[in-house]
Amino acid sequence: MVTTTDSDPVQYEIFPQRMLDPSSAQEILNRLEQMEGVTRVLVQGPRLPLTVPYGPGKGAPVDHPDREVIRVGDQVMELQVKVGRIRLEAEHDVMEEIRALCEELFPFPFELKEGLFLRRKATVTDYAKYGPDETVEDKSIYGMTDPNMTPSSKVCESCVDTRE
Amino acid sequence: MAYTPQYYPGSSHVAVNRRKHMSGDVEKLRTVSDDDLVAALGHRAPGSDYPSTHPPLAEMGEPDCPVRQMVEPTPGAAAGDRVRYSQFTDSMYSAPSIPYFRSYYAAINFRGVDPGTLSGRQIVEARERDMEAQCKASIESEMTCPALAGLRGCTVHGHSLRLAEDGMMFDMLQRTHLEGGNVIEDKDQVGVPIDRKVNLGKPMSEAEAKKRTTIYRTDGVKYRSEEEVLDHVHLVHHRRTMYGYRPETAAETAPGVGPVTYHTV
Repeated sequence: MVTTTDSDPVQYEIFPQRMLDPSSAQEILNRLEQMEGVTRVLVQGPRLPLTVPYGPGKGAPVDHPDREVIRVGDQVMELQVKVGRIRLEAEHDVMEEIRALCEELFPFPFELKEGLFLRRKATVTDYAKYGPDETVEDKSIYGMTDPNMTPSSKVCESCVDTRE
Repeated sequence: MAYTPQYYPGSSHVAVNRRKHMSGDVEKLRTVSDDDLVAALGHRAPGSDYPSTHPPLAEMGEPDCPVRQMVEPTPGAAAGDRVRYSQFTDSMYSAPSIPYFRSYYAAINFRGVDPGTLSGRQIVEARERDMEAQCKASIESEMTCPALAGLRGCTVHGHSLRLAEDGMMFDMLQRTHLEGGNVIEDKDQVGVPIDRKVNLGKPMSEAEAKKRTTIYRTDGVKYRSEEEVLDHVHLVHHRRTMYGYRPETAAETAPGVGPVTYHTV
């Protein structure tokens, strides 16, 4: 069980009533990145595949216009999901700043919740991906990756699945 | 006096829309050409002949059967067409129709169709030209808003997701998109690109979608506010539970006994 203390960072979830376009997502992510105290931000939403994954059209290119390259701070990344919710962690209470930001950017209603959305302890999956907890230098990686990512992308050497 | 079936109880506009969908008395809102529809369905090339699985019935020489003499074959069956499908998805955000009422519409108003009802999608299987006739009628009518509903042969999960900022239902395969205020379909129903842009017309405004919807929602017409519907559902549930396959033997709900009131919890 994870217990929280006053010194623990606080976590928030922004749940807009509409799924965000890449430009809106880029705007809010940049504004969150500039907000003092915000340490981790994660976007979640339905995946945008490169090709039709199943069905009679399997393999046909999708070319989804929302799979755009966005710039957040000094990093450039390709959106692989339609942004449906944003989870973030901050060192101190920034609830009202986030609420003001969302009210400024979203022309539609949104939900803003405080809670535990990004895990703080390693799970068995994290052990398989990154190795024993004591050897992981950057523990902020926990809870930030796609649980469905392929094993070959990042796995502890001793846990590599060699069955294939 | 000719009998007019009522089809569905209730007095709200949602109930009225449900009755319209079941009776087939729906308003035509747009026109989609036959070739565009064939391209969007993706079963054959636009303009090509219908492939067949057997010779036309007239040439086959059918056995002497009273049922076959009584039942006139549909055009697709008479020509020996293949059985093909069309599948619709309707957003939970006040789409005009829902799978159950698409199925009622197909089963009540068209012959030779096999509707399949699922939680997020509704499929109709029929002989190819019969299916196309049914699909064309539903896509051109008020049952379909191009932004909130769509022809989707697979990956229908957008029906339960929030809408995009432009009001379109999410589609992982991006079969439709907004272009100059109109919804354009440039892929067939399974996501394979087609060589034309099928114009499905303008999407309904939020107010119009709520006016034409058949969905009871807490932000629209609440199901619990529809007393007649609840009473009818209770009646059916009571008879089915207590009397199984002989609901007509239910003494307390028999004709002449008087109104039976079921109290909503």
